[in-house]
Amino acid sequence: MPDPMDELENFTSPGLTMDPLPAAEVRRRGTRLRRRNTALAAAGGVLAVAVIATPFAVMADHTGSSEPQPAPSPSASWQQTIPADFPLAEGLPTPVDTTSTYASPVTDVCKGMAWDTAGTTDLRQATYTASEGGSTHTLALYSTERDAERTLLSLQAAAQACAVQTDGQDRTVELLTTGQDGESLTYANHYSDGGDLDAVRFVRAGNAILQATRYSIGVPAQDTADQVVQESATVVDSMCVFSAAGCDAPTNAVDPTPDGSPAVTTVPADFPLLDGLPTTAATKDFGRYGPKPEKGPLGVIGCTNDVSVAPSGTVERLGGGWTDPAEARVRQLMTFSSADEATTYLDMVSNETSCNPQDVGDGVTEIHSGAGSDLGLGDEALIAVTWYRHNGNPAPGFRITELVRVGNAVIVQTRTADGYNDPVTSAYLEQIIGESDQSLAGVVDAMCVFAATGC
Amino acid sequence: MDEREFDDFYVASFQRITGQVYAMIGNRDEAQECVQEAFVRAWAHRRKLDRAAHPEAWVRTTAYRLAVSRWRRTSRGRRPADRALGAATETAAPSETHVALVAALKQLPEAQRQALVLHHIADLPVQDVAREVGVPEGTIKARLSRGRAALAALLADEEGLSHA
Repeated sequence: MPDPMDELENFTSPGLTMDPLPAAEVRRRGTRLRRRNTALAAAGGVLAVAVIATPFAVMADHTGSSEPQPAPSPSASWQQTIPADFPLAEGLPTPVDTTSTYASPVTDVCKGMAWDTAGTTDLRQATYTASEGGSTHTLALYSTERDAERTLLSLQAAAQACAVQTDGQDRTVELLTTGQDGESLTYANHYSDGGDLDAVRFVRAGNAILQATRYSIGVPAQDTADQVVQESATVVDSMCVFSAAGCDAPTNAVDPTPDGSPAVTTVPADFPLLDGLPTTAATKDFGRYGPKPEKGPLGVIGCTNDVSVAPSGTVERLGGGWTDPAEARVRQLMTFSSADEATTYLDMVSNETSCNPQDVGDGVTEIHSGAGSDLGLGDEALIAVTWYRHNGNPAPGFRITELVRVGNAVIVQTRTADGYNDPVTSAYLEQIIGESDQSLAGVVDAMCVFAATGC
Repeated sequence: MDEREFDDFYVASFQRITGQVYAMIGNRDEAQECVQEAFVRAWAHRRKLDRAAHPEAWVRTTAYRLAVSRWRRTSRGRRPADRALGAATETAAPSETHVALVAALKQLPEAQRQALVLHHIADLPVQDVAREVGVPEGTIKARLSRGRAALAALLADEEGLSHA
């Protein structure tokens, strides 16, 4: 047998009957394809404008039950206008056209994916137009950080649902990774099976959301997304002006103890761990339990549903919760020897709960949504939500895991609800995340004993 | 790229790219159709092609993606009877060595096969293969190494069988 590498390098196509179309015919077909694509893009643009005017929740679940909420009064603590010198066009090729209105630069693959900019207080869009496609940066400000968080969560949910719905089709959404934290979303709109796509990236900082896009053909989606990350890097860095901490905050915001004294690791005896939980009890076997010291740390369910993400190095643990026939809410307060270790644990949970949608059989798809939490809670926080779709439609049941760090302590709360019949729509997701934040507020306040600055 | 430049590019590279895509997917008819379609798209997006540093790589990548996409669609919906039809459409290769090589390539994982074809048949340096595939150079080197070993083993098996 000859050397396989020699065979490879001398590979020819013997017997291949080359009967290619004449070049003129190839060009004619190419011109026809181009006209067709242009017509489709124009039709998609009209659709996108119509969709943008519709609140996301109404589009997503088609129930019409989620009436548009009036925009809350702008908070004085969040910037409501984009500074004139904000470098929105930085990173884009020139020339760039800048406007104060939003024109969707992409044709969404699924109905319900459009970015709803209706509730924004200010918006600016920078567009580089190439002969085919181009790149854009669109920055929008919301009244509060919470509004921006909800918007990003809705976008994440819609993209994930579309990815599941279009898997295997010519026009599909592909979720991508960019090595960012849970406050971003990156995906590709594949317009055909020929490699033409738009990479779309959303990044949130404070009450601001940036949408960065780039069109490509023949370039892998992940490469295009990486180019979007590069093009938008300066803009994302500059978005610190909209964050609660501002631009002077260290990037790894672990609060040092002001006098260098050792961190407090002992949980106070009267710590109100159950604050905010319901007080009802369906029977004597249900209702509140605890608080009580626990031997081991509370595990958090990761992507495969059978892996517990448990921290090492916890010093003290206090557990408790509330149960009901329909759901269970479990809490554990953990102290670490340093704020660094507590932060490391949050990072680990964030990684372990960033999961792709999974087909769990019988038409059921399990969807994992990461979301930033209300940064008014503690020094840092994260939420991971698991929910389901049955044959593409919202299905009942969810699991929501929230972690909040204050200094060297972390409160973990999981809420697992399988006993309700309500399908989990995007509006419902927003509601349960809001409830989770709200229920933890009292506990987080009491965690000030672990804060660098104390209570 | 004007009409004349495109026509020259098409005539000069069609057969070469078709041979390379054939080595990647193992089906000559399919390779030819996909390369044809990729050139149609190349003309439709010719301004994009103008800016591409390697137009031939653009066409090859597009053709390969089309082929993979077709294959996935076909394999999803394929019934047992269709398999026989699919096999029958492959034209017999003229030599035993060629048949063995194509058969062995088809048994390799897709990523290894693509790396071997681009490096050894399309004669691209590792750096260009990495750029075209969209992965680090080290990954391509590893795929080449594992692919060569696997190919050698497959061809050795084939030889042993034919001698037996």
